[in-house]
Amino acid sequence: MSEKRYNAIVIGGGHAGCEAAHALARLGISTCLMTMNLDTIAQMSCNPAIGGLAKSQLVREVDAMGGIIAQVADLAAIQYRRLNTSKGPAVWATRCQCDMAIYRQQMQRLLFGTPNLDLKQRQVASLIVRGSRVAGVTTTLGETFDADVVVITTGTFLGGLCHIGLNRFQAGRAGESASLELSQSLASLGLTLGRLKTGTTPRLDGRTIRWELTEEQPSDPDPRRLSHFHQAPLLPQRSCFITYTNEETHEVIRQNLAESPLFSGVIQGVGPRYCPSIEDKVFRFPDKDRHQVFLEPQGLDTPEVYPNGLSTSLPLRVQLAYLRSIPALQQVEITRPGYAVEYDFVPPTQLFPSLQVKTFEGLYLAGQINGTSGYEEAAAQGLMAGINAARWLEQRTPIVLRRDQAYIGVLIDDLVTRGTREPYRMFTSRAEFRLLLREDNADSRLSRIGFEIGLLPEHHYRQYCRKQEQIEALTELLRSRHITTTPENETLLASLALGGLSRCITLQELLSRPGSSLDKIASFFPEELSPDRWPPQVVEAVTTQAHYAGYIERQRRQAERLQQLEETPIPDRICYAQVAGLSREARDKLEYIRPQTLGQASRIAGITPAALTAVMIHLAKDRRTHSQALPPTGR
Amino acid sequence: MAFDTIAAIATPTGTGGIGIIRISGPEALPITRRLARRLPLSPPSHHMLLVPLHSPQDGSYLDQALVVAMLQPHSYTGEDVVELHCHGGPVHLSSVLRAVLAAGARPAEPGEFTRRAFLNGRLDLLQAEAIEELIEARSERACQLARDHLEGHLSATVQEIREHLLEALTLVEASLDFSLEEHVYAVDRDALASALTRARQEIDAVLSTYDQGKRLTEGIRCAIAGRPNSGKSTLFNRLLQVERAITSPTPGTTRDYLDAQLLLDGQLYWLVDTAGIGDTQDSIEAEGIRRSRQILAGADLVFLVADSSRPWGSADRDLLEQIATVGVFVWNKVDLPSRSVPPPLPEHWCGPLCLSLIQPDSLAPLQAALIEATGKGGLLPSTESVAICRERHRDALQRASANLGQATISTSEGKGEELIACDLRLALEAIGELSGLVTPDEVLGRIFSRFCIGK
Repeated sequence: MSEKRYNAIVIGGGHAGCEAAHALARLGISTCLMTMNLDTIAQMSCNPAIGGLAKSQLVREVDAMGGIIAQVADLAAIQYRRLNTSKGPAVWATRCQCDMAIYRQQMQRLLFGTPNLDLKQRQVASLIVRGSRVAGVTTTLGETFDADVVVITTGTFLGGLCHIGLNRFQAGRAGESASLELSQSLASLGLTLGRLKTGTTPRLDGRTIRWELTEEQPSDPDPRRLSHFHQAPLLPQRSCFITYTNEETHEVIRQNLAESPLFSGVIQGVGPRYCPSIEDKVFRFPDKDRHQVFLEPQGLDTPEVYPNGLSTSLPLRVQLAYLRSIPALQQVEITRPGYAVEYDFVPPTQLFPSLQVKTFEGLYLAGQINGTSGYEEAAAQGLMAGINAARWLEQRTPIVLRRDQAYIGVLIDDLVTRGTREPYRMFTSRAEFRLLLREDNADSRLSRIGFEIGLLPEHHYRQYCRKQEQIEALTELLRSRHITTTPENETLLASLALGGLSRCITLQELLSRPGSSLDKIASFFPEELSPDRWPPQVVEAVTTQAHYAGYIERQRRQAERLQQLEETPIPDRICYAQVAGLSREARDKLEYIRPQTLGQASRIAGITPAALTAVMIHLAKDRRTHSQALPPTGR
Repeated sequence: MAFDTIAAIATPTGTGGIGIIRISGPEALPITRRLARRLPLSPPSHHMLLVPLHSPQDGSYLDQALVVAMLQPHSYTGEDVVELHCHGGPVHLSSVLRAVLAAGARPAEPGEFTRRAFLNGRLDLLQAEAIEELIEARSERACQLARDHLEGHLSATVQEIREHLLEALTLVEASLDFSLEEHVYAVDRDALASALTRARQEIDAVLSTYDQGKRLTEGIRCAIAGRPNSGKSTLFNRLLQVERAITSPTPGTTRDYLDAQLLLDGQLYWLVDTAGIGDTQDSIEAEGIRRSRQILAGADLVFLVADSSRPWGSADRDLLEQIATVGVFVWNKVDLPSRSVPPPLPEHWCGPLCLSLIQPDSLAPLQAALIEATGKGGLLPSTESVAICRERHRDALQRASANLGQATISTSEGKGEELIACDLRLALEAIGELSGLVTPDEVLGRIFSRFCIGK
């Protein structure tokens, strides 16, 4: 007898779990989020920031579709910084430091206020499956919950093993127990598990830091919010501070490398190359005489500080010794030790692009369990797993975003097609259509989809439509207004350093010149281009379009060319052993990944253009035989 | 089964001491054993065994053959391959092949063995193409080019270019994705621009060999031009050493052009005998002259034949000046009383060859001059450089060069790194069509190994 029946159960209350549970419930599915500790829902286990390069694009995309990470971050934000502004708008990003406690509270408030959603403090022990379908879960208290779909978002908790020096203890996060039984349950279902590692820094008592010896990095004066739709009240803003390690720090670390579980070989999981521990940095780059450390506030009402850049698994006394070698930290006290955590993950090539496990219907995985790192990557997968679980329940086709459509598409396609050997983090260089996937146009790429599937509320969609209309109106205006070759105009242009006039040009053309901005060219039509008439997001979108005009067109055409491959489905019946001309390696890989489209097949590591051609030829043959095999319909 | 088993006669048609039948595919051994019952069940790879062959149908004796099995993956196609080294002779080989087909093999399509080698990863695309070039080579020089490609010289050059582009892309991408990192430095625009320019020069250097490479495989187009009745057809016949063109003392004997292949010094030439260029009222002759001019315009090398027994006039001078390619000037009919001296020749000319083309001893100086002009005109790639000869290669390299040009402009004009990266990636993609594609992982891997990154 089951305790209770839900349509959907989400296991884990981290950043993936919150999005998944919210999306399911919003889409009308009766959902239960089960977490080992209700108080740590939406805990920021690592640094207290949301966004960053390539990551704020993910956050904005989740928001554009109706997800929640951006609005909650905005409610908890104590510093905003626009990053990469010296580069082009395609790689601009926003980072938002959050009050960790407020972030948790706001997320919990939002989830408790979501209809169709129950939150329960339980530890799931195993999955119940019937045949190849998931049917529910059992808890460590011996209860049984029936469910048609289960989304697993357990982060680092599966088989979690923490290391501080050569001490180790089973935990999913410092101070929280690991989930050991669920890991075994997944393995017993035939899923392959791998092992990854990640690390975090010691936390410091801010009252013991000599702030006067650091450089201040204040919040942006006119912050740009993460969410498209919510204008959260702005909390008091806080600065971050920068300091540096020095030769003495490095010497302390070098002296004690033997006690690092990383270097002594105790840790077997593979760690992220882009987020090395301080001992890694000192060891691998001996010529660097210092490394930057960002001192980030963890909240408004706490003196605790997150020293970004010092992730470590060295023994606590070594952590203290190297910290105190930094002048600003001479007297510092550690509130919480840094540690490394090893955990099980499910190599994500075992998933369909919908994030459903290939071998079990109704079972979805999202977040760190799929080998990613980062709150934003987790949220993006949580959102898509939630959406697709709901759609599967209603027998609708899954939403699979394309690589030219969203970073979310790049993320999931990379995971399920190429897999990962280290914790996967998003970078803009992973996106071949970087110029199309910008922070400023996440809504124009995704809000219609979000609305059509029922996730994005109607009033937000209307807000989006109004913005689109304004973008079109402003673009039209810029196209229709001309600057003629008069001496006055020449003088004005020269004073704005926008070049000369060899012929009559449109404002649109003028806006696309290097160094141009709507502000500058407004002097030609002060009335119509007055800043009060056009909201900043509209101006940003139009300016960026003008800036990239030719390139955007080119990338779009390139994407359209590839579209053909993306839209050629590979039927499930294809048996790669029957495809003539495939090497054994290619055959094995295709058989293992079982790509859904030719496009996906083309991106599998080791699939050469020749192999792809062989598959295409086979598909054409397959289509012929299958169309012939159809019984005559008489029509 | 993914592959069926194919068989074909691998040696050329005709009689010879030995003829080889090649069998490839998963059934190669069982099929062979149906003919060669004395073949061991698992024969050692790459060993020749003398075995009698019998017809699988009626058991009749076929041949005493040397049988060599090359087991997968260590064979040309990457599959099990068996070769039957039989006695030569087209009728005999056909009957052995029929026996092999009766034993279960399918006749191979043209090029199918090489295609399988490529699909099984035994050859890269450039090498597979090289094998086709080797088989189709019509001269020693064309063979040499194909061997260069097969040995991987072109692959290595392309790989080197790719390496340079990848290095540049690594710097650009690092500055975009890791601009907040202390140890990632801003891109030095000047250094980047010169790296891109260098890479583009490397590409253009390979590109510039296309015409030369094409001449190696397809031959040098050699036009024979001159005023009517100057002896062009006689020169044509002399070089070919056959009476191919009709010659006569009547001006205007050659009304249409005539071409023929000539192999000289390991190089293939296409000799084209053209109608004499002069004033005419005859419409057919006028059309011939129009064609002559067309051929002259498309030629790599020109023999200009002049009659030394007639005065050197302005029409002769005009013709001489019109020829921009390397040329050989032939001052013909020196056995007749001379009416003038040979004119001064511009730099790009060889000669004058003062001779009488009707004399057999004119052949040697003509051949020497043709070889000299080939060298002087830079018509063939130098022996140190790799050359390309395929449209596909030229097209990919041209796109790479154009994209790289755009990236260089963006770099020096101070445009955003994201735009430079965009063009660089397109260039790499084009290069990748020759040698394999670049993945984002490859770029990130380079960034991580080069920069100290991570907070």
